[in-house]
Amino acid sequence: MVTDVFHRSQGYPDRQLLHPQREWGIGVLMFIVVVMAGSAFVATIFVQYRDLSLAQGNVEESIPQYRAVIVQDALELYRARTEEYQQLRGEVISVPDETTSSTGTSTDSIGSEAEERTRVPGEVTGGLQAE
Amino acid sequence: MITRKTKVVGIGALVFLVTTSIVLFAMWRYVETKGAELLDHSKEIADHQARQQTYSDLEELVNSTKDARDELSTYVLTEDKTIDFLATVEQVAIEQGIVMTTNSLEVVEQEGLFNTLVISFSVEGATERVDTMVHIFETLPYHAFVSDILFSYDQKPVNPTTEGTIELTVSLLQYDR
Repeated sequence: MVTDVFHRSQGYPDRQLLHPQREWGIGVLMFIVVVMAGSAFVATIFVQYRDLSLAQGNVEESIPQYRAVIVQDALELYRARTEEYQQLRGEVISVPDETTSSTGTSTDSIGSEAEERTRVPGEVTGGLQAE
Repeated sequence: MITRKTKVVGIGALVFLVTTSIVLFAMWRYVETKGAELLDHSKEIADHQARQQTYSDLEELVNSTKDARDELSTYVLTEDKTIDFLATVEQVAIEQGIVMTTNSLEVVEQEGLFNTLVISFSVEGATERVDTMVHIFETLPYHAFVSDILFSYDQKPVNPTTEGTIELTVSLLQYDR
């Protein structure tokens, strides 16, 4: 552009050193370009950091879940169980004392009198099955 | 015609343009660097705030559930309460008038929070009382269950007796997990 300005109208040498209108035009044009470039730059920065306040924190630690419903169910179950346990302990069945003495029989010698019963694991009813 | 003054002004303008460009570039780099630092700090602050919020939530949860958790923990046997537990079981047998001996005690390692304590008892006594004893075992206020029973019944018409073994499986809480 400078070359063009300096070598303009070579057939008719320009004897004027100053061209106020042209210089003003160039100045205004450069001003506009600078303002627009600056605006673009500032806008870019603004867009880049506009959402800074919305940054979400990230917690990597796993937070244990507290399942209140399950806890409440378990508490009710064990409260009922405790109540039954205490009732059972409170009532001692009246049986003659000879129960604790040996009957003189064993599993082998019981024979027809005895009935052997085996419960396999998981067959018990009423007990709480551990999970 | 280019005068010396024009050249000086032109060169000066050029130098000014280059200097300005360099300064602008440096400023741009500075803003970028500081912006990146700002982003990092902002993220750290957000993480810190999130951790604080999580901590507050957990603290509130721990405080609000303390009673329920304390009560629930009484239903789980721990190693330090094992002796008391066995003493209680023996006391129950005495109360029921049953002859009971502990055959074996075995801690079975499990995955998770609990191990398993397997206790085998020999019992002998009146059938009704032994049945009551089994029922008591089934309702022990612990996370436990009767895992095996082997009984021999003496079916006498009067005062029938029972002898055999009862295997009790109790969950054992491990604090160090």
